[in-house]
Amino acid sequence: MKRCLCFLVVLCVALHVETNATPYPVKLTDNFVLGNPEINSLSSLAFGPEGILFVGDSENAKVVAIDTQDPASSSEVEPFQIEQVDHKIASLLGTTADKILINDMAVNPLSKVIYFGVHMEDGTPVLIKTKGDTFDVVPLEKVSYSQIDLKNAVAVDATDRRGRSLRKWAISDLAYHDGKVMVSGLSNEEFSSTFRSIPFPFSEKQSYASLEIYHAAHGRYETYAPIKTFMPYVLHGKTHLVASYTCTPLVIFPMDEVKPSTHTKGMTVAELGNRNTPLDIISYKKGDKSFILLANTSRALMKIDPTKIEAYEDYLTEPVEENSGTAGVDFIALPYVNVLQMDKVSDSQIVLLQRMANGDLSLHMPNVRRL
Amino acid sequence: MIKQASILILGIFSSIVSCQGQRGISIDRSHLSLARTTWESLLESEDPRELFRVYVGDTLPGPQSGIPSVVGRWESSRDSLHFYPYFSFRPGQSYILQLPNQGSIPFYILNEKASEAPISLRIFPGLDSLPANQLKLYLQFSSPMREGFAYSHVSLLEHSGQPLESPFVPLKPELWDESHTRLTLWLDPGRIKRGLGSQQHFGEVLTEGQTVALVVREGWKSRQGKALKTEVRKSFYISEYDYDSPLPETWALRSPEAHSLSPLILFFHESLDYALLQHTLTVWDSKGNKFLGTVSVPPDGTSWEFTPDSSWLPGTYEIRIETFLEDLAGNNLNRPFDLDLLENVELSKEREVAILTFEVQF
Repeated sequence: MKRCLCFLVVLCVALHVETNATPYPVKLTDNFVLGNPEINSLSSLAFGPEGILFVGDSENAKVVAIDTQDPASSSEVEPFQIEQVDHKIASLLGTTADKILINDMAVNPLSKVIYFGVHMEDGTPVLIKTKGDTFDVVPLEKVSYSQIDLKNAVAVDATDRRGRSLRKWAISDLAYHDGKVMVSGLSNEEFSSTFRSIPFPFSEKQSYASLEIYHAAHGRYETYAPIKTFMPYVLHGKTHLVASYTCTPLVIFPMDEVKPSTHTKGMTVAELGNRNTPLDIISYKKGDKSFILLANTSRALMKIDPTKIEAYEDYLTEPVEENSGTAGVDFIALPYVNVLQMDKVSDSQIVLLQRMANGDLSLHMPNVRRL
Repeated sequence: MIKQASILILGIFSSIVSCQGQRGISIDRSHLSLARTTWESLLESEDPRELFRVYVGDTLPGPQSGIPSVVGRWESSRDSLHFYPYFSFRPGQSYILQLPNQGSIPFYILNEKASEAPISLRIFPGLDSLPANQLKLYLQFSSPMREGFAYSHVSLLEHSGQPLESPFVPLKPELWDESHTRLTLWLDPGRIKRGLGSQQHFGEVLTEGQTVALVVREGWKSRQGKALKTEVRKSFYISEYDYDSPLPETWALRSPEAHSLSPLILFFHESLDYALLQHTLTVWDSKGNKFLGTVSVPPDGTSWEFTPDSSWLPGTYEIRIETFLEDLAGNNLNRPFDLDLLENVELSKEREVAILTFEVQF
């Protein structure tokens, strides 16, 4: 008999979530201030509504929301291709491509401008954006922003923290969904992680839950489950997290069943081949149909039909036989390898940052009809 | 060649361009053979950013290359023009100034930080033997290092010298500490955790009885550009699995003497995580005040030594141990790394802090 490999998501909420008593501002940027957010690292980027860019700053353990004030653009953009992305960004900064690191990429859904979180060799963080077919630096000395400190949040998470040290979490991914900024953090010391769902706009008085996630293999061996990357996605009419753990390629679990001190069943939906895990997860539309797209560490771009996940009741069970075997929900390997970053430009357009066979780092929009 | 403060300008150009350190350059009108009226009309009619440009490298990029010029701020005066890059010119980097007449002037920023001490590296745990389910390794450098190069500089070799395939989880961002000198490397937890597909299909990372060597290749650069000169290698014998949580009740304690600064020492009878030991144990007096002092941990993580800032007074003290303290296999004080739910049907309520008490005698 097949044994179910079901994942158990145990969410320990250390503090009751308090809602902010003050009414929400009319505009999401109403409580923003003008100044320098003092960002020390651009670990992770994601866009929310109204052209607001969320920056995960691991060094400072905070999330900064920046009002980009980009003008709105049309819903569709002309396909483009920019070559030598790393050389061009490096030249702008007065250095060479081997001395910069592109941490993340996000497209402003309002303006279609593409933003990059870049670190120089001495660790200086630089926010870069596209400007036509070239790039520009986004100065951060005087921007409209608001921010929330994740370290303080750790301090208010428990009733008695006397003597407890503040734990440093590297922000592995973040996303905005339905009025909340979701942030996953990895520890650089213990095998643990934190997952936070923070109401936005941020408020000084606001506190929020910190969730510690576990999972169990074969319903037997249970560990913590640090999240590398994730995407909120609606399945069966409910918001789920489609996530990659450090130990398991692809899992899903429903967010609305997540309650303090409860056990929620989640499941793995696919194994993606030998020592391969997703680097990035996005969704897009081809005609009226939605798909999930995975960029991978050692495999080509993969396309998954979310209706197959919804229909997937036979949780991944038996080990796949061959060494590079894959299992679970079917996926289609697309002819795009070495995709380092990707994001949606619109519902039906995506952009890839891809290391080509000739070594060139290319930013381009594949034709979705061919995906 | 004329050498100025921190910039090197070749030959005849040294009179045209002068340095403002790494902060910028100045261009002198008189040496460009331009009459003042021509100079002024030039700068009045056109943006200096369109007339003069600074590029990375020692040759100008082709007009169709799309390579942008260095971003920065131009300021002009009657006889000179100044360029301040948005980010300081990089030491050891060549640049080239494009002039309005299509001429160009190369310049080079001297690497004044070349005197940085050689990079050294220590590998933790400082042991010769690791459990087969060892979860992580630490690389402690002497200088802040560049990120983005970890997984191309580190490998784990079998005794034969053959590299183990993908032993580490490549994480973005890489897991550096706040000083950017210590990197955490996770051995693939999917191949350590029992019952997962990865472990069943692709095998465990380490095998009991084998000898492996962690190799950190030379050339890895610090944030200041200094490279690790030589390869660093550390061998480990792989011993049996460790599926058990550390038990503070079994630890041995050496109490200090009253009215002394003698250390309090805990002996664990096993190796615990070197990094976590630095901050997960604290000492408190009977009034609930934190007792300040200095922590010392040997590289093998088998003990913890606390030397107080002020003398011990007679009385009862607490050692509070944060329960996320782990041993080498990721077993913490509350739960083993992969808890067997069949053996532990119901978890007891997880503690945040474990407490040991000790007496300082009169």
